[in-house]
Amino acid sequence: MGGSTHPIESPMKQLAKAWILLMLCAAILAPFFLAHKASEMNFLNALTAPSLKHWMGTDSLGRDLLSRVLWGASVSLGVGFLAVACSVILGVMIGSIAGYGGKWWDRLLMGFSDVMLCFPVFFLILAVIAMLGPGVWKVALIIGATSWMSTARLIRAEIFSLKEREFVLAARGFGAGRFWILQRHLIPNALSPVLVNAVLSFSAAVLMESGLSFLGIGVQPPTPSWGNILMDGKATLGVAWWLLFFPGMMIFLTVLSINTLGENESHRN
Amino acid sequence: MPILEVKNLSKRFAEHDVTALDNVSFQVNEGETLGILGESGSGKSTLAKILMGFLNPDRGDIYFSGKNKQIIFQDPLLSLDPKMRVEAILKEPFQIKKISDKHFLGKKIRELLSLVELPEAFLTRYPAELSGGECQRVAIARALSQDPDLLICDEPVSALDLLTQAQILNLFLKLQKNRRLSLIFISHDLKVIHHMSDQVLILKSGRVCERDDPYAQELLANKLSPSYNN
Ligand SMILES: Nc1ncnc2c1ncn2[C@@H]1O[C@H](COP(=O)(O)OP(=O)(O)O)[C@@H](O)[C@H]1O
Ligand SMILES: [Mg+2]
Repeated sequence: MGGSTHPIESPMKQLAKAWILLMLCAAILAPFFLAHKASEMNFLNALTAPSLKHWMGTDSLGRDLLSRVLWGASVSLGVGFLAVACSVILGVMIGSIAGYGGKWWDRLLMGFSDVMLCFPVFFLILAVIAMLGPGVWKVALIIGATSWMSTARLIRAEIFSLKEREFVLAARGFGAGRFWILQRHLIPNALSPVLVNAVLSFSAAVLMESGLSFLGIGVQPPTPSWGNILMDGKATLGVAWWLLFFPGMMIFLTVLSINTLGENESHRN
Repeated sequence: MPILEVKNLSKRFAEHDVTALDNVSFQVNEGETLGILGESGSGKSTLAKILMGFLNPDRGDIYFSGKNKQIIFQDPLLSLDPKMRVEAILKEPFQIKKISDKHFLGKKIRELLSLVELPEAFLTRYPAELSGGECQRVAIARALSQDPDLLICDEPVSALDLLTQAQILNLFLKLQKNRRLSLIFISHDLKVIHHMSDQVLILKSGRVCERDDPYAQELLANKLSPSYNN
């Protein structure tokens, strides 16, 4: 913050940035251009290896894998984004109340957060999906609703160190209420570490979605996500390596890139 | 006529086993300046925070007969929200009171800036882009926006260089003359206290030190120099 000297970016970071940009473009454009191509079946063409016509080959229904992987980017990244947005909003709200709502709220909410942290989240997600059924939005919201705890802790800790600062006291001297002080002073000043954390949880959310979809309880076919394309590929493992390799690579490179960017940020702070 | 009367104020920080204030009584007369002198850790800031209502005392009474009291802090940069521009900082007290008329606010803010002798160009700056003295002027302007009749200044020049100290002290004196402001002026610096005060209160380990106390006599004779690390 306020620092105007930018260190020269490492090539690793530049690559990471480029990859993320590419994926974002794919995620935004794919649904407009590739929806038809990605669902077009051609059984005569099933399970063909990568070629000039199908750069990543075709799947067992003869669909073009490149189109499906790019469309999958919009689903996987969209789920990740929604999950993180949901977790940041929840985390900021809960952390703010814990940090500035008085001892009683602090104990209650941090106790709740500890319980959530001890809980095996994956099984919680499984249980919820078993009850509500799978679906793109549900997966995103459930991931968000079970991953707000670190954000809440960060916000609370920041607020604890900010709330006796002079500029906060000054606002109290002008008659500002708790809500005013939270939204005008405490949250804006507490937010930067949370945003770095959000970048890292974005990659965790992408992984979680892939995992759930791979198990068949996340995003449901025919909507492609990187996770469920991988799951499809599992059936033909010995025959068609490309069905595992390309979506796997997408997940790997994207998560790696996001973490590279997030790592650099958290070193700087 | 006293504008503020404080009787038997005590405050202990139990978790650190510190008695910050012990049975402190004094009064501030309307339009006058009470200087509070004391070394680091003698309870000056605790007293200021209690007077502003930021902390609750364990015991004691505070009678304030004015309309509004405001505080100026020691560290000018920490007094201003780093994420807000000067304009937003000066507007905030009005917005808290739900005054949002653009024309009125614009006029008010220009008035306040000229009171503290800052150019309008500073409105778009962030606190980090101002010097310590300029930050302190913004904090003073913000406090004046409330038309206070009592201003509590907790070491307002201790963080500034000597030249800026003199400028800010003179600004306080000028404002006091023009606005019938009562001041509580806290400092560990005897020269500053002499320059500013009509009455002087000496604090030592949370207690009021009477004039005939050897510590007070030595201090006022400037034989002791209070520690400067706060
Ligand atoms: N929030 C607090 N919790 C515990 N002890 C405190 C707190 N604030 C001040 N103190 C203690 O109270 C004493 C008086 O502090 P303070 O009023 O800041 O002194 P001064 O402003 O004169 O330097 C010090 O010993 C300080 O350590
Ligand atoms: Mg102090």
